[in-house]
Amino acid sequence: MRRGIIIAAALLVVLGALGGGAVIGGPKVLEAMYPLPENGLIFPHNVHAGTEAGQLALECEFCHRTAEISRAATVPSLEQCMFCHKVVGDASERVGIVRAAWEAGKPLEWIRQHRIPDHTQFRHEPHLTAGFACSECHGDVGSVADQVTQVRALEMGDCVGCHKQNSAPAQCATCHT
Amino acid sequence: MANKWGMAVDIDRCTGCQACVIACMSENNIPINLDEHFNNRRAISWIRVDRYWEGEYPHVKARFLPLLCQHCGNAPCEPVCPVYATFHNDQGLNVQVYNRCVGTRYCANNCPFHARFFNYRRPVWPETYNNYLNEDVTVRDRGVMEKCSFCVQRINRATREAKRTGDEEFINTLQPACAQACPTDALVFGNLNNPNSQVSTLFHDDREYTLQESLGTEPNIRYLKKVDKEAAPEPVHA
Repeated sequence: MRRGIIIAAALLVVLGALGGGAVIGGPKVLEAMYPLPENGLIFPHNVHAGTEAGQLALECEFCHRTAEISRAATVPSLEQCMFCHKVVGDASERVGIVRAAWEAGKPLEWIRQHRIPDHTQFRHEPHLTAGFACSECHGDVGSVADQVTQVRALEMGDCVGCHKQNSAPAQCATCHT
Repeated sequence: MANKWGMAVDIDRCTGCQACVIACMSENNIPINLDEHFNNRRAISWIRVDRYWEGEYPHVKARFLPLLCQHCGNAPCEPVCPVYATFHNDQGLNVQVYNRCVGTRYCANNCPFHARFFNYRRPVWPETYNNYLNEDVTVRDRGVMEKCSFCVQRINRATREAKRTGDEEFINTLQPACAQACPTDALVFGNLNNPNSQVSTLFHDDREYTLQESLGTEPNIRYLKKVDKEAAPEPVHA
């Protein structure tokens, strides 16, 4: 009997820790849709893009290279991580995972956090050409230490509202082609 | 002034090679048509080359007529849609919105050119083909009407590029897939609001005519008559 209670309590603690870790700052749906990566590697955006002391304040485009010229912002290839991490970050456990993947010749499996509805064509390039900052839709990613979550609805009402405010084309064929 | 897109189809130049059909299919993610789909009259082909035989054996001539959505200014398909899934945009295009379509098929029923196609089936490609799909074009699922879009994704792209680089040449050299593939330049695409464009000139050509003119649908596509020196002279109407 007593043993059962201990097991139940331990289970609760474990579940709480799992749930708590994944849900912070995001809608619950996302947790179910986008589980944590298997290797446990969470990219610390704040270390790379944060502007505080000791943080690198890199431009978003330093890693998400094609955002300004293309449809997708693209996640960086492992080579691009290793461009710096061959020599930087010896003390970090996470960098160890990156290097292990590099040595094993396996790509990192990024998990997509932002998703727009089906049958919709979204391109990054025209939005950046129009002068919008990444944070307009993605929030202040530079201060996120944990998993990035979707901060805007990114649904049709959201898109059309913004398009109309900025007198951007808002006809059906603009996005639904 | 906004752009108004149109196309001139020169029947005299068309050799019926079907390059436009193939180009359109690969550009717009059109499902693969099998024999059974043709036999059921459920094949999807946004542009097709209609073939007519003229004369009697042995003096037979083949006539080809590339047929695509005419992007009618006064389109019969538009007012019958109960959900506004097809409508006219400010650039003279007859736009089909797949998300809105509920599949009543009224529009196809009302189209005098048979330019609209209904997805009676879920499109299936061999596994390896999935990487060849055009990412700019939605893959239409079962139960949705579709038709020629004048390659609206290319129009959007050219507009964006012109805005980004400030170079109008992106818009002036814009072509849909069929016109780009045509080896004899039978299909000429362009901006009707630009009086210097080739298509504007062709719209005032002597050989110019529209399909089903009596219906008054005011198509944005004009055809140029076949020049046949052996043909009997046309009867002159008083």
